[in-house]
Amino acid sequence: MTDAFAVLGLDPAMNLCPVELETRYLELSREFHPDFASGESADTQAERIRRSADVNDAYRALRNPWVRAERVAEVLDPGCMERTKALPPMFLMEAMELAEEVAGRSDDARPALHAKIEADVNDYLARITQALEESRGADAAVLLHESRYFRKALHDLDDPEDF
Amino acid sequence: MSSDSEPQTVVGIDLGTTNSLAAIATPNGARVLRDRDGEALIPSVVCFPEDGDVLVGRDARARALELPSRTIHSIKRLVGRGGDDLDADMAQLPYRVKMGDRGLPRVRIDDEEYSPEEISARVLEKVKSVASEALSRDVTRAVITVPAYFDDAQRQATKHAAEIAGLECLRIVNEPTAASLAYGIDGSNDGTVLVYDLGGGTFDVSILKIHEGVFRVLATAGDTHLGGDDFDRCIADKITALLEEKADGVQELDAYALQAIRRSAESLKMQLSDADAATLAIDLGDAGEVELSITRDEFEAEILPLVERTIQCCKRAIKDAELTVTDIDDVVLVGGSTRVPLVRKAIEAVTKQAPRTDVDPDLAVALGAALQAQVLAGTDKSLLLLDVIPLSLGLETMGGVVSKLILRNATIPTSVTEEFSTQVENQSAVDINIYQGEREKTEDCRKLGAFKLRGIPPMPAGLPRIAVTFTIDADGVLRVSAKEQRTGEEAGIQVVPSFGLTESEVKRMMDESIEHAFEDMAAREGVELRNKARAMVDGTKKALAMADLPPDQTYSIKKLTKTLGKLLDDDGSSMDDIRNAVDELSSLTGQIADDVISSAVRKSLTDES
Repeated sequence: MTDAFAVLGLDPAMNLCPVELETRYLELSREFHPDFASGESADTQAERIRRSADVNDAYRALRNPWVRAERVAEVLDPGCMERTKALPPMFLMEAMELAEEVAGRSDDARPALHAKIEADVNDYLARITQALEESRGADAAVLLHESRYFRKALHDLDDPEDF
Repeated sequence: MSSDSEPQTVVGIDLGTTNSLAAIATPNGARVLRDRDGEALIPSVVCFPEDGDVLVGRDARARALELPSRTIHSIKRLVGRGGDDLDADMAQLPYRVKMGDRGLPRVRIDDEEYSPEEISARVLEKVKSVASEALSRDVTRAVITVPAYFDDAQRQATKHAAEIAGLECLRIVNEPTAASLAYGIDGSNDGTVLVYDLGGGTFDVSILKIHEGVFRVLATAGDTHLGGDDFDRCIADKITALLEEKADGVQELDAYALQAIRRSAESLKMQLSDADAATLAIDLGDAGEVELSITRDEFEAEILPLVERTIQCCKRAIKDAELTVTDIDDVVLVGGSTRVPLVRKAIEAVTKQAPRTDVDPDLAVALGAALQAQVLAGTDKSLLLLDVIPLSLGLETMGGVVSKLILRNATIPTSVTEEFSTQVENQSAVDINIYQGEREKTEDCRKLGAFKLRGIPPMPAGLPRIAVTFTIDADGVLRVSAKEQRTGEEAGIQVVPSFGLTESEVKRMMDESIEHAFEDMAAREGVELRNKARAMVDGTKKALAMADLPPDQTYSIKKLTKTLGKLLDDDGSSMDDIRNAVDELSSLTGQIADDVISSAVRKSLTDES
């Protein structure tokens, strides 16, 4: 995995200024976009496509707070995402119950359920951000793995037909 | 570019279903290039008279009724497509289309066969000659536009057509994106814009953010098989029905009648853009004569489902852009079919605002392409165009499921690297199947290509690590490269393109993706359940071998594992039976304190997420 922060020349941090992120992204796009390399050799163009793709992919990753958190966690504690993958069975049971609740909900129950899961998701993001600020990469990684079930539940609740 | 050479002329070309044209950027803005008669629009029609030279453009269109089976129109609908789904189209075409090699369509004139690329190349040659004459210099380089929703094969085919026509295609640009350049170039229209582009054969909608010379596409959606031709067909069907009523039975129509019906339908459609009703007496040659009267209300009732499809695309694009309707600052209409009043009404209703009227729907795409051409010619660095991939790209994984690599609406260029290995000892080749589409199963997506990794060094199974990089370049075209991680050598790759799946299937899969979401989910759940159960069987077996359990527990676990294994070996096993066996096994292993087993089970549970 390419280091998205390094590609964009930014310090790894959760609280990125969105304006700075976008400015940096556009600067680098102007520098590397293959549109500005026509007439150059095939190798140069291929290199530009590669650099430009890295810039686009890094920007997309860092714009999303969850992906950004994963990347920061990896910088703090390399390999932590993979190491913390296995979640306790108790948590998985709860997650399964939540998924069942979402699948079986009535239309009337939807707004309340939505509010509840959304609050959980926001709470996760706050705890992840705090863990990362305190350089607890592995703790953040566990929370990230757990939060995935809640994010998926929220997505399924909003958009049962979309994937 | 070498510094001593003069900057070469690069034109922008809008290669349309119905009309094509070229434009050029000048210090005073872009302008379209006109022929000696002052016409900019060149009909995308090619005529092969029995004696004499091939005609292209207005001359060809003029001969369409006289030489119906030798006059080719709407070739763009066939470009880069497989033959399988063209049956419905071909029945209505006055000219003959046959299936050639690999099931690809070929236009047949006498004993000659032409690929759609070759016919497109004829149109491009004509555009090239009009441009060269207008500029008094030889034009050899161009930016060519395609519908944003064109897939990899259609883009490749368009590049091939340019090559055949002797044009170097510097870039493929999406039509709505090009139109937005023409609209936003002067900087007075910075903001979020929705471009609705309904041409003769294709529909696109793109949402862009324009800010200080940066044109960024946020989302795009569309249908490469929906356009004015389909509106014409609604009227043509009425003419045919009238004819059958008159003759009291199904009529076998000759090429002349088909061509006459098509032309009459088009003419009636155009009249109905201004009038509330239109009448036309139609001479169908041997098939006789009919008179059709049609009101605008009747016409609108026929095309309503088609227009509704475009509106659904608009809604999806807005949602994909993570916006709401109120975020749209401007609506720009492109393509001749946006002259149909119902289309304007529908787009106005969904966006809650009147579309802009200061953009010429016929010329905007070519003008925008010319502006992008100027960037590529190296004379303009003020513009930055950031476009997206219209359809997700994925790989076939276990059980015919598509695992997505690149999601739709990702900014291009974009790339993803995936690692592959071997399954048997000394395996020297690995097959990779690539699909484009949004659905979950391979059979519902368009197969883009089968790639074969060759020259893998002989090693035990699973040991080689082949990193394969999938890159979508700035043309929206896929490039693949591979490297063996242990030796660091570029693995030789043989690329086998397949056009086995067709564009209507892409369309179908988008339509069906909503309709069949639940079926998909069930199918995916089935595959996932089987994969999970298989992992559980394997994991439990391994754990049992390591664990030191009392014989009675070992026996019950072995028995249940065996039962589950048998269920999995039988393709006909029901999901419920498998699920019950999984539940039974997991409750049993769950009771057992030995953490060797429960950790193996837990692993099999978490691996799926």
